[in-house]
Amino acid sequence: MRGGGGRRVRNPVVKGLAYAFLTLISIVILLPYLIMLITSLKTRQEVFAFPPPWIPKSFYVGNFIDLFTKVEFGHAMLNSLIAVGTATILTLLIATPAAYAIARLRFRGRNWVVSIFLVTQMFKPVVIIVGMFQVMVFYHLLDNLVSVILAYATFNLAFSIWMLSSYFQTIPPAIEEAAWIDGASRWTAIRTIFVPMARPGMTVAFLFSFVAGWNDLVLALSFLRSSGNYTATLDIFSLVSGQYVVEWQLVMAAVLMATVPVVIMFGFVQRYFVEGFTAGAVR
Amino acid sequence: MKRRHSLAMLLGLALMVVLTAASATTVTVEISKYSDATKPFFEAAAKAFMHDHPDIKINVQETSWDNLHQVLVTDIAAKKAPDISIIGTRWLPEYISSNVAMPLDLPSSFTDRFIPAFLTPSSIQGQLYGLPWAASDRALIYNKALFKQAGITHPPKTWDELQADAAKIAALPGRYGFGLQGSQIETDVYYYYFLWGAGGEIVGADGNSGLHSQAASEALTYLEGLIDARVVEPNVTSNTREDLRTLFGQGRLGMFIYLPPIIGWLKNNAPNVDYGIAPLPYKTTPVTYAVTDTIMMFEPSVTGASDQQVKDAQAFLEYVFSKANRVDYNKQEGFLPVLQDVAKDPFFTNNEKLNAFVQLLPDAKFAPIIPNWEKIAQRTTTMLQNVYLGKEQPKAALDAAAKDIDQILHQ
Amino acid sequence: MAAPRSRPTAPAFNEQAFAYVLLAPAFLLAIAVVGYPILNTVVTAFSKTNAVGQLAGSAGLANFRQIFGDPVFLEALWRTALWTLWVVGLTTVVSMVLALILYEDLRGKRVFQLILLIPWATSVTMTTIAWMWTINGQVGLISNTLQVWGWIPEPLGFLARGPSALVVAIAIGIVVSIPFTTSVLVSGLHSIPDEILEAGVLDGAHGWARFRYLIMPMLGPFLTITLVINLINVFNSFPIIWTLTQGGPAHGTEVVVTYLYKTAFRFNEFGQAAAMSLITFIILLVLSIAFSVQTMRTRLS
Repeated sequence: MRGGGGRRVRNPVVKGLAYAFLTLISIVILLPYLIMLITSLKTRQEVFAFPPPWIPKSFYVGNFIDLFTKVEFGHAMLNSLIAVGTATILTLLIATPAAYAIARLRFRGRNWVVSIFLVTQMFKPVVIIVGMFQVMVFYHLLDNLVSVILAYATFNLAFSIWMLSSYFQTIPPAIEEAAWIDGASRWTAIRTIFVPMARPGMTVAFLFSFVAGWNDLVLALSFLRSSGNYTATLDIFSLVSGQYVVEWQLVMAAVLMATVPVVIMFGFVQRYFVEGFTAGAVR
Repeated sequence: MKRRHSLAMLLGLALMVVLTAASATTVTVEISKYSDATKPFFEAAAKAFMHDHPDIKINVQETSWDNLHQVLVTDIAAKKAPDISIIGTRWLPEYISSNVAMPLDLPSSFTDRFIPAFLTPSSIQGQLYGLPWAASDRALIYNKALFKQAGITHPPKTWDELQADAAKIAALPGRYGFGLQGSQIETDVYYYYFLWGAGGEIVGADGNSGLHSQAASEALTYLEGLIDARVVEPNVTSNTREDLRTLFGQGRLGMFIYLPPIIGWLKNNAPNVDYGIAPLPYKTTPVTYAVTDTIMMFEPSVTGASDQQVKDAQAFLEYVFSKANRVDYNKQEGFLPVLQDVAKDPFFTNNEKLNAFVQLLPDAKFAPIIPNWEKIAQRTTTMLQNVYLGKEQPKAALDAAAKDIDQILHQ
Repeated sequence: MAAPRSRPTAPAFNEQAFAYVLLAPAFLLAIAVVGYPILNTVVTAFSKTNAVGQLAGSAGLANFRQIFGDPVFLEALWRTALWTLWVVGLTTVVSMVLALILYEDLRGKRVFQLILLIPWATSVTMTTIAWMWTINGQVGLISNTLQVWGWIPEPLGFLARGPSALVVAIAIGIVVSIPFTTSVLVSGLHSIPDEILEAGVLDGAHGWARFRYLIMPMLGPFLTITLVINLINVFNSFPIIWTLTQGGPAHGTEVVVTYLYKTAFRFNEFGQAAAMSLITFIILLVLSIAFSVQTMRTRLS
């Protein structure tokens, strides 16, 4: 079996250190979320109270309700899900064949393909936003979710192709060749043998692309103009961006709400990621 | 037979709808977010306007102040600029020099309604390019309870009094005397209160930087002195104007300088603070800083608007400045009235706190509306931050900054 | 398997043409979306521009001369290198340790894996804002609690000075880079055949040697991916530093991308901003090609 993972650590000192390290990192990661949670349960006046209380006086959940009534947060979340989900699927659909070509086929320029795509990563949106805006106007996609879908898909190509091709290269060709000997067509071999083994790599590519799109601000800010088209990130940003008044308790509530679906998704995919192996290869 | 008739009618109806839609113009209005009240105001005004003008569609788009400039740049580059936009008045020179700002051609019956002082920032070489959308000036906000506790009888009028009073409050446990802004937008303005108050100018009569002057040196040395005497809040360079406001709302800050929306903010977020509003302390010249944000129109060359669309946009522009609308708007956002008839409305004349701001207008000075103003503001801010952090001495810092600013002025 | 034999031939077809067909959609999408913007940036870097970004004739190398004569830009370039090295370096080390730990069979492993992914679920801007809120001197819970306990005499002022603000930025940069790096490395570990990892890394005296000579080489390509992608992303990272300090105070946390933004959208110097983009691009291109060609070469053998 390949890389099944999971063996016992016998040395208790090392085990203890490992746990300590994990715990430390976890605290650092979770602390801001704790603060966000506390703040999101405070009323407007409690937010600025001094000394700032660790425990909100009233556990005010009105902030979360306000989100849906005040800024149509539910609609924005839906927009994000649709736009980012589509972009991610698009990325995988386009990147996977390209990665397969790099991993399995011989052709001129094979060494350079990944580098060429990396070029698209080196110009971050904020740096080329003026040109990008003109492009979207040219395609008549302004204030249209398709604009961000295409943009997200493009910016995720380089990493996805690279990750997938590297991962594909760790799958020994012998496996497919064995299938060919048995008379399977190239396509069948790919579908039934290759793809299942490629899943962990594809999962990481999926996560990366999804997250990158979910968290983007610059592109959404420039391309999407009417609030009905706002993504969740843009919605949150509009909450923070008042020049003279920022309602922090709403902002924190919004950020938590935007984080939850993604974490849930991680929870599902993660299980798959780690355990998604089929016994298939014969060694 | 009958079928053909109804088909013809249907086609005719469709044609009518298409034609009407084609003749309907869409006016795009770009606004910046001051608070949660900004967009609802515009959308309500748009709705009412569209009701009276069924063949005009008003499209309101909102973005944050931080991003407005960038959004407009990308819009202009793609020739998709909004018909009407709120802008920072300091951006006008660049739009005018690039020929994208439309000179306004409004009847004098309309422009005469404005308080003249507020029209000057958006009038370049005698031509009006925009109308003041939000106007404000600055005053000293002080905590009456802390003053009483520290034994201070009246708000400070001079620099010496300011420092002495701040010291008294700083002596109280856990309290800070005077709020000094050291971070982000208008850090330089906080300095101008004192530069002007000592009789200095931002740009001298000779066209060079005012930082060469004696007044500039006095003002900067004074502020450095406040920090050395520890009568200001700690970590000056990480405090924005809004951070100072937070400290004040928490009752930990004795006094600071802010604008009219403080009234609404304190009412909503810290209603228990008993505060007063006073003129800015000065050395030789009483002064306050006044600033307008401008609402202007872009040229058809970058909006793609037809003549009819321009006319319609102008109609909407005049509409939002109706007395009723402006009273409404000012009430919600808390800015100063820019129209004379609005200023006379009982809501404002009876509003003691807002009036305190209005009283200061005769002494108001504006920042110069010149090209490359942002570069000058940034250079001044860097200079101030270096001095506040103790990385540079005032004299050396002023000389270096003055030299750089001269270069920018003569670019 | 017995004696080596010649490689079985796949069902016949034109391999190179097929490869190009598979690659075509990716190329087309990239060109359609970012082709013009990149070209536009390159042209602008050599042009004179007006205040609203319209091109007005060639400027030769004037923009480049201007920015290289600007001490703020040079300092920002240096600081960007430091910032990138610290974030990428520490992230790689921390993530490697985490990946190895998570490869072992520890109780609660699933929970920890999920926690490590959480920063990915929130936009970087919001994470930064949450951190700012946490360490804030006026309303921050941490600062106030420390003051109440008497641990610190004055409220926390990390963001008041350049160096300390940069440390905060680096810490946040590391936290938000951990999910990606760890995921790729764990995925890479899973691709290594069992026999090699038999005794596990965390055990015994052979652990380190096993790690260095067996695991590292096979992990090589994945490590390269994380290094290069992180290098590019961190070098160009905008939200963290912008949200924290906007490059201040007094340019104390200024990096190339924040200065670029100011140059373009505050000072309206689009030619110079484009020149900065080009410089950044060249630096990243050289580094990335060096890395990836080296990897490709080893992979093909």
